[in-house]
Amino acid sequence: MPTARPSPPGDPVEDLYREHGRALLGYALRRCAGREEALDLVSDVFVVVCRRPDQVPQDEDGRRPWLFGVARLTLANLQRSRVRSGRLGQRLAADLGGEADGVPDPAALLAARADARRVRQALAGLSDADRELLTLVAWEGLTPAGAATALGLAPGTARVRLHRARTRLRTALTRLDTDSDTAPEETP
Amino acid sequence: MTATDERLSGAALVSDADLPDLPPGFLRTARRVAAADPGRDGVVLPFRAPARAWRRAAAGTVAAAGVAAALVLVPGGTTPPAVADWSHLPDAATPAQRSALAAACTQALARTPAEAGASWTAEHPFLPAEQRPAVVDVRGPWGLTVLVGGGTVGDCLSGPDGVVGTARQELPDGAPASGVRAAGLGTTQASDGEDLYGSTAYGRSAADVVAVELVLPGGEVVTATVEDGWWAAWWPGITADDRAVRVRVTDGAGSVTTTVLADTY
Repeated sequence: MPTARPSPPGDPVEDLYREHGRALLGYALRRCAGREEALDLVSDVFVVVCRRPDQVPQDEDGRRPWLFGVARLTLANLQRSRVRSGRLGQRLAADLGGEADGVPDPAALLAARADARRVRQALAGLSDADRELLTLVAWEGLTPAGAATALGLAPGTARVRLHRARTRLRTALTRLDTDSDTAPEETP
Repeated sequence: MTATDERLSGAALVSDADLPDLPPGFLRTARRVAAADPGRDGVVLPFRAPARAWRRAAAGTVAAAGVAAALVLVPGGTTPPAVADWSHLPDAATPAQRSALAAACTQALARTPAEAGASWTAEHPFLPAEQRPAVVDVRGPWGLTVLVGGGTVGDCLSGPDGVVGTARQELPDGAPASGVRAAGLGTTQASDGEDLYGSTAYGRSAADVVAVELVLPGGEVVTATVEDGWWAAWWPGITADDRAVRVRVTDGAGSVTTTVLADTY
């Protein structure tokens, strides 16, 4: 019987795309105002990754946090930069074909959920760092240590900030809930 | 799970389980785009916009622009390459220089068009009349100008021919009680036949801070400009590791503390 040969090392970018692509799409949809913007983000992130395959962590556990870290910076760029070189998201939508119909539009979902709008209003009042830390843990399922990796923080720093951010969010939500209770009812 | 946690989870809107896998073919497209434009800084680093040619007669000094929101994660490049007239120590900016740099930065940021569909710029319009220079860092013909106003903080890196890169973001929390807090860490990509990069950093400082120095991965020290509760500095080159830059802060009592810059963000 021939001796089994070790598998050749995988393509880290391909592995990342296959194993975490859907999670990245979810990340984008949860943070972008619309589906088109989310697809732009996903495609831009993978262009970035393809330019720097050597940066993909060898450690499998570190890949998803790292990918979200790249996404965070890329999203900041998309939101801050005024010139976008291309609309790769349209190509991604085309490649998705009929499955693109299965990609929800966050704008429509948000319009239908009053409490989600209020929570997002409270999140919007937090600092970028607090908001990302909270949502990486609550929405992306990262551990505080994983969120620390994504944000370039020391794990201990992330834990302390997470605690403070939760307190700030709770305070902000309480204020919004109170304001809503005392606000005059809208008349048609 | 607390009620706040539950509400936060509910605000996620989208569950990964309901989403399709990414199509295998798109990765080929991404690779093609990356290969066709490898220098354009995909680098995890956002690039500065808008790009305006930054030309100098002297060889080796260059640039057009790209901006970043965070120090860049690119291999190598920890030692500042030579850039004519740049220095590790800032100059004392004259009132005329400050005014000129602030005016140029305001114009550059005002010219930056709001991108269709970009919710951030729509929610944070640039208001020229409300801008004031928080800190202006001058090194020879180079200037890093930080403007605050209208709830945002913007920065411009300027060369001998004018502004070469701009960025804007939400105004961070106020000055820290002690030490410094980073508000903007970035990299400007420059290209004029040869790529060059500049790393920028600025933020708030406590009232008793008298000196801020950035210790680069190679050990070189860049002294920041400190003004009215703000500090700013830039240096040529990419900063390879965002945790490898340390900030050394001296307070009025002569006490010196050194921290990883990224931890102050």
